[in-house]
Amino acid sequence: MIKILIADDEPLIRRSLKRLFSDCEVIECEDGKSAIRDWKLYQPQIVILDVLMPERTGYQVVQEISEELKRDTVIVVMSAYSGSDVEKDSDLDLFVKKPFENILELKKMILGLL
Amino acid sequence: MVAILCSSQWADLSEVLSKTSYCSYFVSFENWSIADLEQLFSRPSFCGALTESLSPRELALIASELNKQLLQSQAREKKRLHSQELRQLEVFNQELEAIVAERTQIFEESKAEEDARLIQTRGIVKSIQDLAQVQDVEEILLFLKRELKAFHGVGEVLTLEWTQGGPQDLVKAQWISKDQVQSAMVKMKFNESSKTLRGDAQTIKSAELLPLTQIFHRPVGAGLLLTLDEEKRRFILVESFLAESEWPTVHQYLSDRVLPISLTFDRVMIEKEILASIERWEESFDSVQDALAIVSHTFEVARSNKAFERYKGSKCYEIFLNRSAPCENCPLQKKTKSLQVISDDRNIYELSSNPLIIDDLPQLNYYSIHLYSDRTESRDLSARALQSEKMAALGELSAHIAHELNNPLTGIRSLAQILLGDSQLPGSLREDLKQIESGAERAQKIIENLMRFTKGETGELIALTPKEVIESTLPFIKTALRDHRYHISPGFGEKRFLAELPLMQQVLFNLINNASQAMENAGELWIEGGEIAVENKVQCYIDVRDSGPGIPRALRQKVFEPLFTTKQEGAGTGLGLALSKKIVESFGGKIIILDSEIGAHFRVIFEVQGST
Repeated sequence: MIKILIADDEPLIRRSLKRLFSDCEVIECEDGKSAIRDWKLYQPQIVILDVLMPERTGYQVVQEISEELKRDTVIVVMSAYSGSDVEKDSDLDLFVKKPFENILELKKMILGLL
Repeated sequence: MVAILCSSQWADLSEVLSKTSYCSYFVSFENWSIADLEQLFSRPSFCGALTESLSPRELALIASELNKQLLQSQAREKKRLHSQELRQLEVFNQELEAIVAERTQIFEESKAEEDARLIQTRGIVKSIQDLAQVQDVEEILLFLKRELKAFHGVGEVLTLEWTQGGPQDLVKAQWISKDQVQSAMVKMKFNESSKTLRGDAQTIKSAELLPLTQIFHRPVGAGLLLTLDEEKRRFILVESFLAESEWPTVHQYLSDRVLPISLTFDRVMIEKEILASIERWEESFDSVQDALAIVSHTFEVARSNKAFERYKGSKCYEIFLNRSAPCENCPLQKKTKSLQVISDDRNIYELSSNPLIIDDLPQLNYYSIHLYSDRTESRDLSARALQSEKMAALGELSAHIAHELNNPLTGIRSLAQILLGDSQLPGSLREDLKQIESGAERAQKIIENLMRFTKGETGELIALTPKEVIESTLPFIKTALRDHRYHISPGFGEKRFLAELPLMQQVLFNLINNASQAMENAGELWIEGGEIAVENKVQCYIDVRDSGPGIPRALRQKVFEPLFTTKQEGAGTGLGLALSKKIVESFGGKIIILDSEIGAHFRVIFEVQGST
């Protein structure tokens, strides 16, 4: 079963993503610090990070994770702020602009990256 | 009267004599005692004694002869006395005549003197009268030249003024040449002995006046130096070629006039100074860029600078503001120092009023200095700065709120979408979920627009349609329109024009907000978008019409001026339409007011992109 780590401080978004990936094993985190911890702990195939979170931003989380872990993982970052003002990290596989137009499309895109 | 008296003794005779007044008498004194005789002889009127007895006839003859002699001697004596008196009278008469002659001479002499003095006085009075008419130094010098013509042999007349401080021996000389005043600075030593009291006149040798030859290019004669002002070292020099015997006359003539001349000189100099200072004052008055006026309590303008004189009239409000009545909040009547804001059609002025009491009767002659500082720009600027600050703060706040709202909305919408994806979902639930999803979407759109509107994604020109502008703006103004009925026809949105959406939203927002505020009670509002062809060009337009009181034709230009507002204090900044106009014009568009049967009809027009 595919392991997915979802880090977002908005419980409704976590809940919707959890339901979206109901056929996967979903690990939920509500801040950046626990995201780092659980990433290391569960080593998921897919990591979906919100940018603005308590403790660490999504980018900081990616930075702090070792290269080895990053290489084996599909990294998705979501933000309400336009991606143009954020330097796109080469480690990223996908940048998703919030709000999503259609979340079902999103699932297809992310799974396609595996 | 001669009498002959006979008696035997002195006692009898003396009794008779004491009773009569004979002046001469003869006495027959036979048988008289010696003592009696001595008595008789001692009488002063006793003439002689008759020793013989004479007959009465003889006595009568003697007496008559004696009387005759007596009368003759008396007549002689009388004559002698008379002639003596005559002689005395004659002498007296001569003396009198001498006195009269002397007196007459004295009288005549003093009259001539008096006449001469009168003529002299008249001359001085005439001079003083002439001097009173004099306006400047030139005229003083001309006057002196004219007056001194009478003395043939008087040369140039100059004023000399030694400089105070600086080089001590420099003198400013002024004289008349060809009826015009000339002046030159000459190096000439100032003789301390010349420093006599005002009105003094002294002769000065030609050798001392040698430096003046460089002015006249000829030898200069001796002169008379009259002191006008010893402190200011100001003198009048009269050149003279007269014989020495004639000098006293000129000297006298000038001495008589030097005081009036000196006073006239003072007056002329003071007048010159006053004129210069008035001129300086007026110049500085005019150089003040703000309008400045001295206004009386009846609003009459006593003095003013150029910046003040804008319109015709005599009252301050007529001249400066072209008003027919005083400003409502005129500070003039307050009679105290005060600051007020007044305005005309275009500008706002800060009026500072400073009372100026000229006479002792302030209630009669009350003046105030009014300084009008144009504050239009600064008010405009500060209001604009305040407004943009407010907008910036609002933008920041909205961005935060939007972000915070966006997250749960995204969750709601996503969840609804996922649930809708469940094929086993009952039909009624599916419909509800659809409503939740579309509601969340609408909320997100509102937030998106709000963020654009407040944050102002400036600098990005987008090809917009009237429809887009109207539809993206409406969500914000629904509350503003709550009290009114409104009709929206946004058009088909085919033709596009170039503008920045947030700014266009602001323009439309302003127009709709104004319209809804203009209608006191529930009214109607029409918002329309579309395209029209004007002179081979296609234009996009957005119309905002209302059923309010409308805008009088006279105010149609004014409503676009900064700070013009008909709203109550606090309801508007008076900047909305002015800013809207600026925004629209910056994209090459126009805002116009159309004639309308009811209410106001604003139209924003843009050239369609690519249309020629």
